[in-house]
Formats: sequence, structure tokens, C-alpha cells
Amino acid sequence: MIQSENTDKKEKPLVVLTKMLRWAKQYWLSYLGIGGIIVIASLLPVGWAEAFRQLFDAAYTLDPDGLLNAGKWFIGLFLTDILISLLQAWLMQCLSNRNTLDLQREVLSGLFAMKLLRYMKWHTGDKLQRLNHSAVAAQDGINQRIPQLLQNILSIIFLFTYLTILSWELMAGALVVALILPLLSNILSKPIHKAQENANEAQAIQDSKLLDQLQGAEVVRGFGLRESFKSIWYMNVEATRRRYLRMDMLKMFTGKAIFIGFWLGQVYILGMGAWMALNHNLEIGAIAAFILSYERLVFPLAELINTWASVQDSIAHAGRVFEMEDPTRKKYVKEGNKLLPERADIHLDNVTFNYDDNIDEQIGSAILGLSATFREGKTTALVGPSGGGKSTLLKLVIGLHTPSSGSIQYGDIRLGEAEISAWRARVAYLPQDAALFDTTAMENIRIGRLAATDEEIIEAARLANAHSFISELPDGYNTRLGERGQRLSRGERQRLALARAYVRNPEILLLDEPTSALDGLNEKLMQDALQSLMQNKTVIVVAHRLSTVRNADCILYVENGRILESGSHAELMQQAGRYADLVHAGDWADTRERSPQHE
Amino acid sequence: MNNSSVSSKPRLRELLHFLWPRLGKQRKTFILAIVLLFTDTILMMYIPLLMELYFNRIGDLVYISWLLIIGTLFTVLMMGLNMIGFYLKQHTIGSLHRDVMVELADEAQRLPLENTLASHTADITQRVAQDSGRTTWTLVTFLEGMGGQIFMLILAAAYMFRLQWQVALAVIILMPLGLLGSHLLRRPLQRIGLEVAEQEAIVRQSQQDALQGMETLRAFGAESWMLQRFIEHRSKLNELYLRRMWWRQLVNGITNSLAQLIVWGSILFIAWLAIKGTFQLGALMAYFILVWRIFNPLLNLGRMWGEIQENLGAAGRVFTLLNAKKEASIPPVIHVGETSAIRLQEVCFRYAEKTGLQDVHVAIELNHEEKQLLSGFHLNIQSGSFTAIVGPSGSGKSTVAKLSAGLLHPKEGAVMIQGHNPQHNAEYARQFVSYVPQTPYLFSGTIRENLLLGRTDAGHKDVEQAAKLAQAHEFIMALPDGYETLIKEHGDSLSGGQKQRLAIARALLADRPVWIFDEATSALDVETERKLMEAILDTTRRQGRTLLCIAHRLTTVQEADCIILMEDGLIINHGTHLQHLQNKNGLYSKLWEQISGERPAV
Repeated sequence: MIQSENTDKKEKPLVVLTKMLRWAKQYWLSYLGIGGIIVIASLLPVGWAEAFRQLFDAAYTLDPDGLLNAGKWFIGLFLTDILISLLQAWLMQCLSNRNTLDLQREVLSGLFAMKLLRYMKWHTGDKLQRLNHSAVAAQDGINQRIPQLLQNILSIIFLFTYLTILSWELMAGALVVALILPLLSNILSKPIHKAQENANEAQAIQDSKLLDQLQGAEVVRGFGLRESFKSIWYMNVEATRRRYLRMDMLKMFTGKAIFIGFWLGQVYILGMGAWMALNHNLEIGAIAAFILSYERLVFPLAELINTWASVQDSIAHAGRVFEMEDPTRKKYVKEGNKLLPERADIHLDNVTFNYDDNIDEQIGSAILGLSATFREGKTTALVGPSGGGKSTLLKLVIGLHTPSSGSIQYGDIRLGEAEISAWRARVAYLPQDAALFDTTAMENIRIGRLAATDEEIIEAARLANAHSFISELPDGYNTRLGERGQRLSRGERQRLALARAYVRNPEILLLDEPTSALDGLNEKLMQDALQSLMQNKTVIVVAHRLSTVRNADCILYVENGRILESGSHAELMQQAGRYADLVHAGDWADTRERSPQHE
Repeated sequence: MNNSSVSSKPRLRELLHFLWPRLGKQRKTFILAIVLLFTDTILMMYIPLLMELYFNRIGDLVYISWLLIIGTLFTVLMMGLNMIGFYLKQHTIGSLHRDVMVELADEAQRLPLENTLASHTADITQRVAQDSGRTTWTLVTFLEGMGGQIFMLILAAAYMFRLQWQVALAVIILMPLGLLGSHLLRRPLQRIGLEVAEQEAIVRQSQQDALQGMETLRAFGAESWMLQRFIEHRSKLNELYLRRMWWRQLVNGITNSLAQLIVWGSILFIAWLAIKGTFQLGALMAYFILVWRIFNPLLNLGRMWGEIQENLGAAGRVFTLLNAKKEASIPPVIHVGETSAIRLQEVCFRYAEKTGLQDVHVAIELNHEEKQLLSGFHLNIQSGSFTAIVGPSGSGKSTVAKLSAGLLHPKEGAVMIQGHNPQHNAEYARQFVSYVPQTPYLFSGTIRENLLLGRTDAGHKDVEQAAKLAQAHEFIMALPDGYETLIKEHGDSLSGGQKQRLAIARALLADRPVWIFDEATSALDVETERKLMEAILDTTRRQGRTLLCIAHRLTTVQEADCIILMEDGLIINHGTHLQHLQNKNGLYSKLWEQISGERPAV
């Protein structure tokens, strides 16, 4: 079951709104411009009301000149309306384009910088939902909905003022009557907010399940899971639908309450107006004009209802974005800026690390109290049963994760004391399954060193024995590799990833089973090439192949997050411990060692 | 349901034809909802009537009081009906959207694997989730939205007829002009709607790539590169948004101008008539209020019609998915006495270019000169045997494995799985094979849930048994939550070897007649692999299962009944391990030499 785990507690809507406004602050100039347009736009309904009043007066008092005047008003208003809406739309779109891109970029950057363990807590589908759906809705809220809200409110205020000038007795009473129900319906705002959160969460789960299912297409077909996934996902979608429905209904109630309030106000005016007309306190014409103008309230009011609902939506969405990554929060750079030494040993001192913060360290740690030194310019091999922590060790060295206790040092400098990017620039890390991206083969290799020239990349591919298969692709180096490079075989992916290491040519190599997907012949070629790459570099290699391991300067046997044996091949064979057992087990059949009679 | 009749550039008619049957039993409810929602219009319309009555009898307080009371009751009644209508509409449309989404996801899973792999999941997700929404809501926009506005226009016009029939007639005749703007511009609107949807999918793809390749990007310090890519894609999207805005403004401008012309023209005329003395006050009031009931609907109609055009553009993406060729499911014929587990006959295969969903409209030049990966390939694997395929990387071994599992389909020739051809019924044929790939895929969920995918009704004993065989039970129990441990996305918190063992356990649990392992143990250390293969071989021999193993490590498959050596898509040689070694200068011997360190003694 996928749970969208929230690592931070949910914030109140008002807090979220404050953050949204804080984010919007940098665009104050644009908002000022939009604000100006809004003020003019909100005066338009007043203009229309006045035009109508004049027209009505002219018709009522049989005044042809008044008609002409009213006609001029109409034309003026019409032109202003067109101009304003054009200007407004253009400014809004430009602003929206700019700051939505900014927001998404900031959130994405934040994701790049986030602690990896925290990053892993959300499913990609969930992250995508927050980055796309929620971030866009939140930004939209600030750009469109809030200004629209202001515009509607301003229109209504201006209209109210205008109406009060016409007849304050009528207006005052209408106001009181009209506001009772809407104020009462405010009780619903908390349930609405909760309903929104629930709907968004269900949506995230729905998106994640879909993504999982699509990326696991091979498994779905292999195990005939299509039908069962269909029924499971149906339930996810249904759950999301129900929650959205609940949210919509709650919002609708609020909307209807406002409309009934408006209606009651109108009833009051009509009733009061008739009574006042009878007592000759007010002219019928004036009542008519008043009603006409009050009527103009309907449309901004209806819009207000929708806009308010959208604003609440946006706030909920903004909350989801900020929960993951808050672009308004000042980030202090925790890393130091000491310079790394030129060439030094890598030293791990009593390092402990686990993927799950909540577990018992002694039982569940991936790495427990591990100390080791990787000598500069030497090759160290890590062997041991799978799941023992070897890959995790590499990730700690490259700084993808930070140890929960203990330290990693390069020479005298602890890894936290220098810029992490400076450290990584010196290292090439090749995981078991290197990530390839949906771009050309050339670009994929260029990731190894962004400044590399095309020639350097092709040379690196040659060294990694990848040149031949890349050249045979339909567009050669310009062939797009598809999502996660899944159309290449594993061996091809491995070789391409190796090309990255070649093009980067760093001092330190971290290799996680660099040849595991290659056949014997290819592996031999790779070994030879690797030998030249590994010359004079500090290398830490995780391997299951004797051929890779045997020639290492030092071998570490890692099991359950601890180092159990260390030494050269000869030393460890003499020790006749776990490593020796592993060697005797097979595939590493060095017959000289297996059968004593060869002594 | 017949999908093939809908083109990938659908017209509104086709869209409605697609959506309507899918409403199913809820059709009547939906119509009822629409009708009930027209109470909105009725509410807006009866107010002018109320005004007319009010102003004609303004001196009579008793009449006025009754008018207001009845009016309020009527309003409340209408609102009540409206709320019911709203609920019904949201419910039915929500259900429709849900059904369309589930159907689309299902269709995506019926695509041949090759096409799925060539598409990007972000693009498919966009079609299934977002584009489907735009498609479904078109129904609402058209029937409720435009329907409501037209209803209001008709009522307003009818009312006007009572007041001044010449003007009313003129207004009615000129009304369709409101749609003129959006109708003239419908092609640009559709085009921009499609372009926006496609670029949104591209932005999503680059985001997904970035999010899933996070470790590699950080390790290589390539974050800025990825960020730059995102900015480029998003900027292009921004340009499209801007362009779309201009089109919308153009539509709006035309509609607005025409609507205002009609409305003000009629109003000024009416006012002039009033001055001439041919209009009552009440009628005048009514007319002035009515005018807005004409103007706003006209504007809305123009806008909605434009929206529909845009959505039609996006709907094309949905129909591309629906129309794409799917795997066949012809009812299978059961036959007995089939001794061959897997048979490949005259199989030709090549990974074609541009077979993804995004490439559907790209013209492909069929290049018959292109080298086939497999050509005229023959293979016959007997039931109950242990066969291995070895050879250099890129020789086509994995492709043969996938073809044998019925996951890929040959371009020519046929594959038979227990006598059934996957090209006739892919799902039926596949159920005989448990396939374990090089890179196992795990779903987010518990370990147990992942294992149960092999056989959903398996009991805990069976699950444990399979895990033990796969040498996975120990490490599972060492985890804090054991079998209930939550696996993160793609199983990222597990090591490669652990993932492989889980994938094997899953396949074992499925317990099918044929097992195909494609480098399924490459991440395991030698010791674990040995134990695992022993356990597997033991099981297959005892239960008469057929085992096909693709391997690099020759030692894994030494004991196979038949080892097939492949190179460049051809079978070079086959035989037992010893038989191969007799060819001292052969490829097999060379490969063996690599791992054993010395020339094999015979």
C-alpha cells in the first residue's frame, strides 16, 4: 500500500497563504500593474450601472439628449472593457509564465539539494503531482484567483458604495439581510479544507499507482496482472472521485448560501422600496434605478463564489508544495568551504548509517561502526554477501548519504567541511544500474563531464568498449535512448555508464560491479581497459568476480555492515577465513588453489 | 466497444459518440442532472418577470407581499433542485471520467511491450489522467454549459417577443454571431490545444527523468544540466501558453464586440421607443434586465465553444492511445499432447525505431536493409528440460528469452508456448511462463504484496517456501518488519541481489510450467547463487518444470541438458558442457577460459 508520508506536520491555511504572499513579493512590480488594472476593471460594473441608470432615466423622462449621453457612455465603456481585458490577459499570462517557471524551478532545485533520505520518502508520482498539479494551481491562485477575488470584492464594494449613495436606507438593510447566511456558512470552511487535503492525498496515491503500473509494464504482462491492476486502480480512482465530490458539494453549499443571501437582500429592497414609495419617501424611478444597479451585483457575486472556492483550492495545493519544498525558506549552506587536499587517503572512522531512522541501530543498520582506510592511488575491493552494505558504503563515500554517526575524511578534511560539489568533481561513481536519461547517447555520456567535447566523448566511449554498439544505433550518437535507456541491453547500459567514468577521468573511482552484466570476453576487454583507467587512481570496487578482485591492493570482506576481514588476496587466502571460503566456492575456479595436488 | 471508428483528430460529434455509451446506466441520471441544472437559468429568467409584475402594481402592498413570498419560495425550490442537479452531474461525470481513465490505463497495458518501452510513461500518464479529463469535461461544457446558455437565450428571446417582437426577432437571428469568433478560429484553437497538451507531456517527462535519476545526477554534479533542460522545456511551454492566450483574446474580442453590438443596438432602440411613448415602465425594466441575460450568455457561448475546440485538440491524444494496435486475444484452442515447451520457428526480429505513442504521426521509412537481430531463428525446448543460452553480450540472448516468454512478438515466424501462439492470445500464452529479467522491477508496497503478484491466493506457507528456495527468506526476516516491510519505489532501499532474489521468489510462487531466467542471478555472490540454482534445479527436476536460463556465468549452467551458444543472433553450437569443450578453439571454450583462468583439460 502506498502511503504519502508527510515528514512535516501540516500547516494552517493562513500560514500557507502568508508564505504564498511572501513568494509573490519579488514580483511586486507586476502585481502593482495588475493591481492598477484591477481597480479600473472593478469600476467597470459601476460604469455599467451608471450607464443603465442614465439610459433608464432618459427613457423614463422622455429625454432624447439623455439618450445620446447614455449612448456615449456605452461606447466609452465598451472600448475600455476590450482594452482592459486584453491588457489584463496579456500581463497575467506573462506573469504566470514567469513565476510558475520560477516556482517549479525553485522546487526542483530544492529537490536536488534535499537530503536523499528525505527525498526518498515520496513516490515519484506524488512528487510529480506536487511539482506539476499543485505548484501550478498554487501559482495560479496567486496570479489569477487572488487578483480576481480582489477584483470581485472591489467591484462589490464600489457597487455597494454607489448604491448607498443612491439610497442608504435601502442599502443598509439589504446589507444586513444579505450577509447573515454567508457568515453562517463560514462554519464550513474547516471541513472544506480537510476535504481538499483528503482529495489531494488520494490524487497523489492514484498518480503513483498509475506510474508504478506503467513502469512495471513487463512484470504486468509477464504475470498477467492486467486485470487485477485494473480493479485495484479502479478503487484508487473511485476513492479520489468520492473525495473530490465531497469537496465540491461542501463548496457548493457555501456558494448557495451567498446567493440566497443576495436574494433575501433583493426581497428586502423590493419590500422596503414598495413601502417607501407608498409613503412617498422615494420616487419609483429611483427605486427602479436602485434595483437595476443592485442587480449588477449578481454577476460579480457569482464569480466571487467560484473564485473564493478556487482560492481555497490554491491554498491547499500550495500547502502540498511547501510540505515537500518551501522556496521561501532561506536555506543556509551547511557545508564548509575548506579546500580539499590534492591527493590523499580516504578514511572512514566509526561510521554508522541506516536507511530508516526509526529502527534499532544494532539490528537494522546498513553500516555499523565501520572504520577503513582507502589508500591513495591504490585499489580496494569490497566483497561479501549481497545486502551486506557494500553499495551503501560507496554511496556514503560519494556523499549521497551522510552517516548518522562517525566521519568520512579525505586527508585531513572531513567531507562536511568542504563543498560537496568540489568533492564529487573528483569522483566518478558508477552504481549497479546506472541511470540513463531520455536524451541522446552523446548527452548521456556527457553527464560524466559537462564540459567535454564530442571528440572526448567518442574517445571515452571507445575506451569503454561502447563505441561499436552506439555507432550501430539508428542515429549513432544522436540516437535518443528512451525512458531510462531501457531499450539498450544491460551490458550496453553498463558500458555506456563506464564511458562516463572515462570522460570524467577523476582521481577517485567508485565502481559497483562494473562488469556484472558482461560476458567473459567483453569482461576481459573491460578489465584491460579498466586497468589503464585505474592506474594511479584511488579505486574502490565492489565485485563478485575473482578476476576483478584478485589483483586489488587490498580486499575488504563486508558482511552485515561490518568489515570482517581485510588484506591482500594472498594474505586472506592464508587466513583461510570467509574470503577464502568464497574463493573456493566456484566460478572463481582457480584450479591451482582448489586441488592440493597442484602444489 | 468499438473504438476504431474515432480518428485521432476527432470532431465533437465523434467525441460525444465515444463518451455517450460509456455513461451506461447513468445516462438518464445525467440528463436529469442537466435538466435540473437548468433551474439556474430559470432563476435568472424569472427575475425580469418578477420585476415586471412588481413595477406594474407597485402601489398594492398586499399584492407585493404575496409576490415576494411566492417568489422566495420559488427561489428556494429552484435552488434545492439545482443542488440535487449539481450532485447528480458531478457524480455521473466523475464516474464517467473514472471509467474512461481506467479504460485508458487498461488499453495502455494491452499495447505490445515494444511500443510501451518506446513510449515515455510520463506521456502515457498525461493521456490517461489529464487529457482524459479534458475529453470528458467537454461533454459537460457542451451539454450543461452551452446548453444552459442557449436555454437562457431562448427564454430571454421568448420573453422579449412578448415585449417587442421586432427587436426580439432581430436578436434571435443575430444570436449565432456569438459563436462566430470561436468557430472561425476553431482550427488554430484545436492546434494550440494539442500543442499545449504535448508540450505539457514533454515537461512532465523531463521532470520524471530528473526525479528518478536523482542519485546519478548528484553523483556527477549534473544537477544544473538537468535543471537547464527543464527550463528549456518549460520555456517552450510558456511560449505556447502565451500564444494560446492571444488566440483566446482574439476569440473573446470578436465575440465581445459582436455581442455588445447586438445588445446595445437593441437597447438604444428600445429606449428610443420608450421616449416615443410606446413602452411601459415595467416592460422597460424587464427589458433592461433581460439584456444582460442575452449579453453574458453570448459571451459565454463564444468562450465555451473555444474551450471545446481546444479540448478536441487534446482529445486526439486520448484517441491515439485507444486506436493504437493492441495485443490480440483470440479465444484459445486447447490441445493436448504438446511435448515442446517453447518453440521458435523461422523467427525474425528487430527492435523497430519510433514505435512509441508519441511517434504515431511520424512517417517511418521501412528500411528492409536494416540488419535483423534474429533471422530465421529456430529453437525447440522440450518440456522438463534444462536449457541454457550463452554467448557474448548483444548476441540476442535476452531477445530470445523475451520472445520465448511471449513478451515480444516476432516480425516474421512464430513462437509457440506449450503450443499456443502469443500473437493470437498474448495473455493466455504468457500464463505458462514465469519470466525473471536482468533488472527486476518491484512495486511500492510490502514485500509480501510484491511476492503475491505471482499468485494472489497463495498462503503464507507457500510464500515462505518460495522465499526460502530463492534464498531470500533469511534477509527478509532480518528486516525490522519482515514480510510486511515496505519497499520504496522500485525497491530502491534493497540491494541488487536482494531485489533479484525477491523477483525469483515471486516467479517461483507463480509456479508455472516454464521458467525463464534472464541473467536473473547476476547480482548475487557466487555462494548464494550456487545455493539458489541448486534449489531451483532440484525443484524443476522434481516437478517436471522446464527451465531456460540465459547466463553469462558459464558455471551457472554447467549442468544444463543443452547449452546453446549464440553469437550475432545465430546459434553457433549446442550440446552439453563437455560436448562444447571438445571444440577447443571454439567460442565456448574461449568464454570458459576467461573465467577459469586456464585452458580446460579434457
